[in-house]
Amino acid sequence: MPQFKGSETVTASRQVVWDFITDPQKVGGCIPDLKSMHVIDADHFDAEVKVGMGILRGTMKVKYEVTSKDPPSKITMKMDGSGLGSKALINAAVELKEVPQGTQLDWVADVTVSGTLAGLGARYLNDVAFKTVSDLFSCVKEKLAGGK
Amino acid sequence: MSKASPEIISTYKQDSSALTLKWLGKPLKPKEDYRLVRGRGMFVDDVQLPRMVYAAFARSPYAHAKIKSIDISRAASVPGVLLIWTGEDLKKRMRPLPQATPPPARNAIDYPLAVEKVRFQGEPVAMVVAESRYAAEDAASQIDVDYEPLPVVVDAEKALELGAPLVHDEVGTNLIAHVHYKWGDVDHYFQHADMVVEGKFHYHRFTGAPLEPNAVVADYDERADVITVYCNNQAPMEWLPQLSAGLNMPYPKVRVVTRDIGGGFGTKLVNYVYMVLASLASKELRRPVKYVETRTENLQAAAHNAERTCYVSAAVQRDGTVLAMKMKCLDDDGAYARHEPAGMTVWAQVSTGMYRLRALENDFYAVFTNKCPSTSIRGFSRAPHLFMIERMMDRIARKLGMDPAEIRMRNLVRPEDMPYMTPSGGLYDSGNWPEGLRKALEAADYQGWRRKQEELRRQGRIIGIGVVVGSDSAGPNMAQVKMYNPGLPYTSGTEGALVQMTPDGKVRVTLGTSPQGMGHETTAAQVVADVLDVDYDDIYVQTGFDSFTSVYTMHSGTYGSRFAPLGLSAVYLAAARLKEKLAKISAYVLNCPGGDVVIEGGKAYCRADPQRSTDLKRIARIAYGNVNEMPPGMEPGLYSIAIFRPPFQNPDENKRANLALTYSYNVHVVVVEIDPETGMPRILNYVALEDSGRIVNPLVVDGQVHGAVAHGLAEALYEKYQYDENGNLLNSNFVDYLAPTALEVPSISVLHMETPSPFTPTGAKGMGEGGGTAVQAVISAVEDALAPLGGELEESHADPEVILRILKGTSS
Repeated sequence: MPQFKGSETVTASRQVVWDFITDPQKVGGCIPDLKSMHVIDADHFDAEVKVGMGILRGTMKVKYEVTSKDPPSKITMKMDGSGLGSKALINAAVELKEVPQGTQLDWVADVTVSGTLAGLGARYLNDVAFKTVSDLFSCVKEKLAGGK
Repeated sequence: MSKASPEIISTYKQDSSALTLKWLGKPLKPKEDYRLVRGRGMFVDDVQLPRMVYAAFARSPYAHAKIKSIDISRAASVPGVLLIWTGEDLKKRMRPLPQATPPPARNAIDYPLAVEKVRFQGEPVAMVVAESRYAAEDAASQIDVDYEPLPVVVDAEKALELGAPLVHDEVGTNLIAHVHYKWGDVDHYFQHADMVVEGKFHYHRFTGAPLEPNAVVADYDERADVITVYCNNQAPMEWLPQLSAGLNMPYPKVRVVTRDIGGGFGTKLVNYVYMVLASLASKELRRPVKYVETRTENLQAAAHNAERTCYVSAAVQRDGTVLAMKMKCLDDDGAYARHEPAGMTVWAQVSTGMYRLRALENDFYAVFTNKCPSTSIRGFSRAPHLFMIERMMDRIARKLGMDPAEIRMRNLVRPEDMPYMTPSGGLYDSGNWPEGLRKALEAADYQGWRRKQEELRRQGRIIGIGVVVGSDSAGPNMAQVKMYNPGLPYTSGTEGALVQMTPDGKVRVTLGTSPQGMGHETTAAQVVADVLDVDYDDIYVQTGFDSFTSVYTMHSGTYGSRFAPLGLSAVYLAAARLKEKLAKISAYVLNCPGGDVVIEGGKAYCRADPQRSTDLKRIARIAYGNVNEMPPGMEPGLYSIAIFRPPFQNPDENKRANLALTYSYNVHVVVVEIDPETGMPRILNYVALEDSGRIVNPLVVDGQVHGAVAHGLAEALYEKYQYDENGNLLNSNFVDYLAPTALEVPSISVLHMETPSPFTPTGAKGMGEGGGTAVQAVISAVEDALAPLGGELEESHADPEVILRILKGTSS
């Protein structure tokens, strides 16, 4: 799978963005198609996410883990999803930079999908994976719009 | 590579004197079709037993990963779940499946459920048995496995490189087996030939895609201590040792039953893993256990063919005579050697094709990769062998500026050399291949199409014509596996049959075979009716196989196109013996002068006095119930058992042997047109000539030809498995894996020649797999269309993308 990249400019201070993305409840709220979540501690939570790709529809269990933190500018996380006879592993890194409009949020994500999902969605898996990750970060942008 | 010696021919020659030729050759309506077309077939999924429970599997999403832990707690709490087993649970209950490979590959530890690590995507990791299939599937999806992904190897050549990830750590290499065969003085011909032509070819990965997936119902009867396994395995007796060892039960306690089977094409040879699992679970739960695969499970994890890559060179004379070939081949057999590496030697005898090659050398490697295990899909091994040969013939023809039909004609084995012995010891039984080629070319209007091709090319249309002569060799001598593993206890190829005249004068037949739609009930009845000279409608052939009532050998089953040469020969022999006994009783009862009696039309009469006659029903009643009227000392009853044994030998020290009993042949001529916009070939004309010896039933033979063409066309144009570099199978459903339907298969003109085999009592030869001739013919035609652009195809699948690249000049 290729590496996905994106960038969002959030009209909020870097600290506000940092507090948001390091709060499991808040990040969890931005996961697309979230069904439920269970916070373990500040760096770990489990979630259930609805997945629909082609004829394959169902739920995946996602284990979220913060793998490194460099406040208030850098964080890396791992999302390990399983279900539907498949595995989806997302390793993402987020970098926050102060810019005149607020904060620039640059993200990169490596997505590895194995199993039935990889076969079923061969033709549009890239698009779906990119959309899933970019929706997460544009949600962050929306929720923080105007925050200081 | 000459006419076989009279001594060898005499060992193979069969007596066919009992044939009356009244029923053979007639297009009688297939007996089994009456129930099948009305939806009254009895398939494994139709088996419903009281208290039956259902199995489902959790399967690996990874091609290669370590199993760190398996958490079954969520699954166990699903209502209705009765049993959950992982590989570790299985390890406590059975020994690993026996391996037919030579060391060190024999060290591979193979269980029906993954132990310690997974080796291909879709490999079963845990089995759930529950009160309903819903509950079983739900629970299976809630088994939480913690995997540690490992590096993956999906390329056979890379798998042999130093440092490649090991599929089986305990083997220490990915090499399954290596065999080298050299027949004739290859080096001499290569030194003295006018030229050497080379090529690299790839036979791609696909499957048989039967309508009915793998299925099993195992029913342990505690009172009798007998397990009955209803299955759709193609060769259940071949796997009885695995089943018996897995269950730790002796053969007389293991009853294997097949009924109707919805297609096999080789995919159903290796489903014994599910037979073992369901049987163990049934024994544990004391309840019948059913498992039926889903389509995705079947495409992902049932059985693929072995992909083959060959580097080929040919020693050729300027006049087009092909003297010798050298090959180095690799088979990608996937993650477990459950049937393979048999393909590296099975049908090696046809690796010279239909041609008078003087010598052949093959250096052959079979390799483990992280893909689905492979087996003998239709046209097993000889299709890839013949693919290499036929691609080379086309390539040589182009190099020499010869017509592809002409170069074949020049090199074909001649009728006067029949029976012909190949450099490998193969004994081609009969036929007239040049005549077959001439007939097929004429029927297809080959010359007319060549002219038309030129005209249409000038109009910008892209037309190609393919001509291929193929071998549909049949009735395998299983001793061929000794070429890579001399210790294997498989030799020869035998088949059994029982023919009984019941006390009412009707005839009951049981077969050792497990047909999957080939009309065995019909053709067996025709042979019995013909030999006994009784009415076809009075013959009742038992559907399928039952190890408690059928007569079998360890080779019994339906694979390798073996029914006509081996199965029908057993039927013939059993019927002929029964006829002898009927004659003896009749002569005694009628008190015929000299004991000379004629059996004809369901009656017996004295040759010297035809007025003294009786119907056979009376003789049958006497034989079972009125035995005091039988000849003194004769055993009562009218049972006749025969097991046909061809005079096969083990390969000699030079790996030479005859490895099949009969050699049907076919000629396919196909015209394609390529759409310049999409690169998709369309069939304009398809002629298939087949000579399968004496035709027992033309309807059955035509059906088999249509099936073989459909399969070949599918492989060449539609069906191709795609794995990504991580070992993910990218097309495991019928949306992405394109199996052709009636809409894609063109109208086929089927022609027949009929050269009876001298080596079977009926004269019939095995056929049906078609030897992959359709694949070769379609690829040949596509390449012919692209030839003006210099495009050559290396693969057995003509992907429209590849064709487009050639059309656009962006690839050669």
